[in-house]
Amino acid sequence: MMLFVGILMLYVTGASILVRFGTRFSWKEMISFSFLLGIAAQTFFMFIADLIGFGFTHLVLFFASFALVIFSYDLLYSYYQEHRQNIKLPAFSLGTLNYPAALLFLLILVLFYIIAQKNLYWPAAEHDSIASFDKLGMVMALEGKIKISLFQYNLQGSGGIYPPLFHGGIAYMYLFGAESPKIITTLFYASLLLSFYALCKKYVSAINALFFTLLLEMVPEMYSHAALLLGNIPTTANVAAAGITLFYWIDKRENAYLWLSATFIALSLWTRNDTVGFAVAAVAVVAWVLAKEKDWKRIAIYTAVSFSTLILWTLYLQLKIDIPQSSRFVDHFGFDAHKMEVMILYVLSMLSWLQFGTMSPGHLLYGLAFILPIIIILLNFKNIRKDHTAKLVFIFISFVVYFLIFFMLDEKKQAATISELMESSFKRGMFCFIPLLLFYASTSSIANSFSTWVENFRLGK
Amino acid sequence: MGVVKIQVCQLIMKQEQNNPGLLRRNLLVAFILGVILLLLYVSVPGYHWAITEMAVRNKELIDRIETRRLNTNMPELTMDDKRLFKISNYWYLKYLRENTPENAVILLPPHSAIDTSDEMKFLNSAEWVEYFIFPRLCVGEDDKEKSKALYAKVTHVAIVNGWGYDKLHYSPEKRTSEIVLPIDSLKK
Repeated sequence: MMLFVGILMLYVTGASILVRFGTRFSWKEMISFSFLLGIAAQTFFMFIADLIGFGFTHLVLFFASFALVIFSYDLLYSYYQEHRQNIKLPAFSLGTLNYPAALLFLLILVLFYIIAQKNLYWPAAEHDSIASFDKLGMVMALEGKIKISLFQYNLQGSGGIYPPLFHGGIAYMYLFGAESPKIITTLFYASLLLSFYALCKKYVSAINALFFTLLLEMVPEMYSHAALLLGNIPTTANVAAAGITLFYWIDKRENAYLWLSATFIALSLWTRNDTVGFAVAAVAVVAWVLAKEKDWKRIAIYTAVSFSTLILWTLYLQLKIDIPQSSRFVDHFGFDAHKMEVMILYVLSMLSWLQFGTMSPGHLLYGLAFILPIIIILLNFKNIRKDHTAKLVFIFISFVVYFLIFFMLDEKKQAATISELMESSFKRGMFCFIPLLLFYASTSSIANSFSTWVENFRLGK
Repeated sequence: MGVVKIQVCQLIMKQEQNNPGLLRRNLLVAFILGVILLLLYVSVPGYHWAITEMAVRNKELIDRIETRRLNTNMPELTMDDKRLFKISNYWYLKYLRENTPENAVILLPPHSAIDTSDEMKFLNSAEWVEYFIFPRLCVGEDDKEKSKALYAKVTHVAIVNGWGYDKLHYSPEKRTSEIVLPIDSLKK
């Protein structure tokens, strides 16, 4: 019961933040973004409590959230008034039912149920969650602080230098009485799928949006991660929300989505700092678009918000925890041709069906999640300008930075070869690009024309 | 039941009159979509693996465990029971926790002393073991140079595969291959 209250509080807290951005969001966006914002808010409360030396408990977090809800109460109420007519089940009629959409929806639901059941049934058993994230969360909940006693003995694990969104979320679940905190993975996964669908649906037909949501859900490696207590699904959910809201702003120029995008970029960096490539790319794209209007103020605010969490966490690491982030990188940068070649071959393998090293090829790891968008981008080449090149530039820059981060990692300091890193961390980090590419593919002119043609045929227009 | 069936048929016929062929076209698109999805499942090995192994097999395993549990009138499985099922050396980690005081500092075996079996996996890793024994602390024999301060505070030795008896400050009467013993004599 207490866990239920805790989870509900996450959504309400997130909603009270979201309405500050605007009240035009659909209820699907409201549900999916609320969780992401809510859990982040809780970890910020933990961070503030830690800074002022005040131990956090479930009551402290509950009342801090409650204050936030009270602060936004009037906006929440007006959102409810505005949208309550939309919160209803669609009219059901066997004659007019959208059967293809119903089939896709049913598949998405069944697959989600099965993986959620698996996730919730088994306890965490993966090395990284036991040796790091779950342990950090559990001890944070017991000690009521972020810099837990295990740092003193270097027993925190590799996740100790990661920003606290994920293990802070685990701590939150423990504080509200969870026996196993794995429900957090299911909630992030649900947010990822729902936010993807909600924004896709704003552009394309239900069949198209559901088909691409199913493709996103079914990415084999990511689907297996939806039953693990690892940080990759939460990172993907935040990066996806950041990228897709940015794409929406590029197309529709609704300010609320610009600020939401900056916030989710900040939250991505609050989950894992190797997502810095997305921040660099987002700032570059926003600067490119807004520089034409000489809107320097918005560029500056966007940049400041996006990088705020990275700066905050870097300072915290150096001043309080005393572990510099740079300790993972090479001391002297020199071009290593062999390393570059190995990395490029791995990337080619991930994007295709070719095998390299001991890693499974791309179509086994990610299904069609990379192959299909690449085909659609090639087929859509003549519409590339019409579909806003800035979106592809965003994906490209973030990938280049992501690639360079791994290129600069010191194999000795990581105690792993570049092949091992590519087959583990890099491979999982590629999840972040999947929703962005699928979203681009789904909303591209060519996919949109095809889905409109299908829809017209289906409705006999 | 029959009345409802007639009403549904009448409704469909009415819809058909409003938009002739809608139902047929709708079903045709759904059928084609179903075939495409089936093709993806059959021809893309990743999707086949995800559905067969990740979804279906795992569901079957959970259902089998739960059916057996219900058939034998066993109580609901606790997280501890499930950990015993999932983590091969959980029995030993649980044993460490239950047989040492909360302020214990446990010395773990070096990598060379444990074999490659699942039952021994990560027993040398202080980061791994710490999760199961907190608030007790642990330090690996391999980390004695890196964690000198903690190594100096060791109160117990995790005997694994017969390793660790030479770390004790006394000679126990009986030697078993897996046990946890205080570094100083029990009499102290």
